[in-house]
Amino acid sequence: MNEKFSPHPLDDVIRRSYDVPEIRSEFVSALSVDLMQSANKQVAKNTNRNFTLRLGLGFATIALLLGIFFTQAPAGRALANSISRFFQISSVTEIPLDDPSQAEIPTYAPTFSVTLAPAAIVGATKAHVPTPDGFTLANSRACEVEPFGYTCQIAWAEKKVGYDLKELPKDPTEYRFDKVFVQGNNDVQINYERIAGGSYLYFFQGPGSEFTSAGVGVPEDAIQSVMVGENPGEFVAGGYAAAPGQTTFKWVPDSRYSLRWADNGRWFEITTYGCVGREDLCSAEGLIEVGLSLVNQPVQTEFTRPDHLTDITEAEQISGLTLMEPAILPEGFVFTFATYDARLKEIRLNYHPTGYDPGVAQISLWQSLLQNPNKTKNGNAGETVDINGQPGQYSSPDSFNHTVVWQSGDLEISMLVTSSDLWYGGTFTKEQVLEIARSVK
Amino acid sequence: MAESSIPLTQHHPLRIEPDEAYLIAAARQDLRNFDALYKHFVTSVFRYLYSRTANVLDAEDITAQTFLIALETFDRFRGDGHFRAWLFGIARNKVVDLYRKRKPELPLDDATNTSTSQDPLLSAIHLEQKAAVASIIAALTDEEQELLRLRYLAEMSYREIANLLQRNEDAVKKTTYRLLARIQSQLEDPNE
Repeated sequence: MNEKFSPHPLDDVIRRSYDVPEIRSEFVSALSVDLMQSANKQVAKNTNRNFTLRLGLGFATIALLLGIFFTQAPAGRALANSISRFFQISSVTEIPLDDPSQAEIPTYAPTFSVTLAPAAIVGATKAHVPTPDGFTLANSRACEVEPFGYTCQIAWAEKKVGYDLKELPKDPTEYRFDKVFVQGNNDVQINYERIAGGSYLYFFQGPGSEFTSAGVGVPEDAIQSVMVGENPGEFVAGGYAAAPGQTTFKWVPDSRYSLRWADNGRWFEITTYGCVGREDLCSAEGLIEVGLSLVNQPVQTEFTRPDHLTDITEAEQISGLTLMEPAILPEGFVFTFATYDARLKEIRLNYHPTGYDPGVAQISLWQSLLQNPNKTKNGNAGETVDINGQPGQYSSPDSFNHTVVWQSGDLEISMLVTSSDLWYGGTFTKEQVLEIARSVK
Repeated sequence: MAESSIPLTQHHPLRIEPDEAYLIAAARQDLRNFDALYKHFVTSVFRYLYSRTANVLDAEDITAQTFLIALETFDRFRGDGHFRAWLFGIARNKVVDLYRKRKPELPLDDATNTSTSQDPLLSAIHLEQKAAVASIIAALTDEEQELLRLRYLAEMSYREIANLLQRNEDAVKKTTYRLLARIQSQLEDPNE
């Protein structure tokens, strides 16, 4: 227990009342050895993990390329030569590319020093999806209300494929709907992305029980038989990926998680990448739970979603706070969304660089009312700094990650600055971070 | 990754009594430093799990699972969360898994009354008081019992408990104080 608190006379007797025996030292030692071995294995494969597992970025592109590779290239077709119940089986764990220049191998972002600039007055922009081809807004009331919204796009897809789509009952926690695709064979793909970036959930379905868009094969031993309710299914953790500069795709036994099954004349697939903050979506159990939750008619989404507030006014209304904003930001950064935690009565404003997945770099500004304005800050380790005449605490393990905590009036403010060294590359100096903090007014 | 300012390498052993933030930063920098984090938390995790399972082997088994999962998913631990809350969240889930697989063999009454004490010098007064407290705790709601376990066995701060249970910190604090007052009062007057 980190906090200081007055001992209660019952503290000791309550602890003893559980009669917990001493932990065996042999057990502690044996588990320590197991953990060290496991840690060594993970460190050894970090080269591969670094580019795919940290945010899951780039992997979707590779999967798409591989799909093309397996279906178009002769070598690819030869590899995908046998089919399990739901997944095609590949007998290889490494796929050489005859012509790497033809594949969009991801490249790491070069490191650079960010430049500060006056914050642009730009509200959050909703991801606008082009109006579906051949779809007239008059076809659906939902499209009159929100032409780029979920309901409109689902209505469009259902009209196009001619069957009632199974849907997630609502956007998964931390995720938001992105877009809908209709593929050949009347297959439908519904994409969700993590609001704060770095993770994706793709939900596929199509008529029949054959996976017409099966595409990429997987090693046989990666397939895990599961039950989705009363229906047999298969779960695979892993996928082929290539690190920048490599000329082969290698099987990486995680980073991509897929569940496939068929039910009542329709096949389904749920695939996730990343799973930041939603570890359950990187497991068979978690995906099965999603699969079992499918409905024909989803819950109507709330007009105001506390975990995805798209402008400052909305954030102020829901929090009841007069919010403070930075007047200076790194060039290219704009306000993207805010989240409100009703339990903690805390608002978080998020700023990201435009044109990037939000997970690659962010400035987050937490604001909440001081529960006791007279309390002293103790528990935020770091260097004491001056923020507009108030003492603050600054800490940073490296030039990509910085934290500043301070008080202003009756608000407690925490600012987190993070940047992916691989996917964004921007470094911040302490002085720049403090300049941003001091501009928060 | 840019070179870190945290002076941690294989040649810089961890401090003898490191703080949690330092241990977490060390493990982030090099997963092989996770061992120090494990040793810092293993006793409280085991104590908590024993209180949930009333069985040493089960508690050890779930302790091992908890730390192996924590190690494997450490890169997904969000730095803005509380590590202890995150770790005990894993432990709690594993207990639920255990109970899903098999019904608890011991009700909590038995668990809290399972005496493994071999200290013959423990005073009769203490024994009586301990039994009385165990009995009062056993009569609490599941939620209240869990609050006490997290506070006294998992050694979590109110903020960490609030984070884990997704409740307001003040509410957790007040509930705990009220619970202690109730236990105290029942100890003084068992008929209350």
